[in-house]
Amino acid sequence: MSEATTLQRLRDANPYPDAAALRETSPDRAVLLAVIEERTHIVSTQLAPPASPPEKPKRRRGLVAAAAAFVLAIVAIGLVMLVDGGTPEPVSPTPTVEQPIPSPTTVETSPSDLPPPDTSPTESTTVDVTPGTALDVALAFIDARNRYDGQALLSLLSPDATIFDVSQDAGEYAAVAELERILGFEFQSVECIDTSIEGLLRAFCTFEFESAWSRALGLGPVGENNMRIIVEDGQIQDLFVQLNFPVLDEMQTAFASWLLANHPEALVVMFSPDAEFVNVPILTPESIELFEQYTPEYLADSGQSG
Amino acid sequence: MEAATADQRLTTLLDQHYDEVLAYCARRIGRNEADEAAAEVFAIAWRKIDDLDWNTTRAWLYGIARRVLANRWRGIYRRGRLDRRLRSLADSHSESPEVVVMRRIEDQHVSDALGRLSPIDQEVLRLAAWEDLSASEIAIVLGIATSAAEKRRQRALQRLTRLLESDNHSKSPPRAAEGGGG
Repeated sequence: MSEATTLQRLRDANPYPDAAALRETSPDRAVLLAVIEERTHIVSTQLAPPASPPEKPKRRRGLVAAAAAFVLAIVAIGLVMLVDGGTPEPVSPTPTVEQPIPSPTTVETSPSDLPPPDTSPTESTTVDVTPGTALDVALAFIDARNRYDGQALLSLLSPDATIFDVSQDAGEYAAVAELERILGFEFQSVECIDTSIEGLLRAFCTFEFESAWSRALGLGPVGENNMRIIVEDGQIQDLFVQLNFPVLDEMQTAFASWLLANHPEALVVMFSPDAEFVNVPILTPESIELFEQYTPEYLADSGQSG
Repeated sequence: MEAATADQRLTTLLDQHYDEVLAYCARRIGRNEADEAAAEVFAIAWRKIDDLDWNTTRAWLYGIARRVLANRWRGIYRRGRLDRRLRSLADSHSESPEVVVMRRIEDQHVSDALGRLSPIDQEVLRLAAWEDLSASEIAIVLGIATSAAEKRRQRALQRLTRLLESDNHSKSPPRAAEGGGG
């Protein structure tokens, strides 16, 4: 068999040989642009020229995140209103889509502001979310993640929520909080916006993150992550967290490689083989215990402890 | 002014490349997920549009798409829905039953063999055969040198050919006429 034949057979196996035909069942252009707009509205504020904005964005500044010892950081971070005179008015990608775009709400954190990741348990809180405010739910969810408050997370998630995240089961979020506490996972530079439309309460956030794994590699904050939620009855019904997978994969691979070299027996307890690219952390108590045990050791070996 | 230009550039990108990007996404993760993935690609593209080299637009978009899909693969795998998605994708063909059967048998052989290559070899071959990208475009998508992309494409094709030949010998009677020697 020639290579040309192989190439032809491969071409014949193309499940969608006619790209143009797909458009027939694709959303029309206005819907498409609206979707793109939703995902770029925050960025669009940066693309627009620095004109005088008619409305200045609300910002919240403070310490969030890894410092679980500062359980009350949530109080400190909220509600400090900043005046940002340089943020321009959002623009629409096309004149045909003219939805009003609310200003992003920003939760700003700086790594230098943050104490080292705390490994002590946090107090649990139940978040009292004002019904009907997707933006508040989104911010409360991220705050709870940064406080490693499993009970708060459970109260924010509908038990039957559809989830794309480190877990796909809302009931596992106490374990997620525990794992993220151990890893010192921090949501940083969070910007959220309410993208609700009639009958659908939505919010969209972009953020950076850091964790023990990124610190071990000296990566600094990892960007290009986002989160989308749909809220029903004051709880998250749909959660989609999209991390910067290539970087995450690099970090996980480094940690998994270290495990393989130093504690090979732990690997199968801590990670489940999943996609061809990634191993997914297991959230059982046995696994969490091993993460607790080996993460400091990994950081020490990486010269990042203390 | 800059914002208006960015809008126009986004519209141009959509007009010129949306179909291709949508098809690329559909070929990787199935039709149902493709629209959202393609929208994600253009959302990112719009954000980075100032970095765009308009001479390599298509490859640049494919490079973004590849990353977007890598993220989505993760979620799809985790939810165990990939098989269902791919089955629904296979079911979406609307050809005559005979053609479908023959195509599926043949395509399955190719898909099976392709799946036994390394992920990067698979991607190179799909980019070449399904997306019709040149070696220089593949190089941009994968972030490697053009010469490396060409070598990788050639080697991957050789490997796939050997696998298909091996399958032909082991699974079915000799198919001497196949390929026509050319």
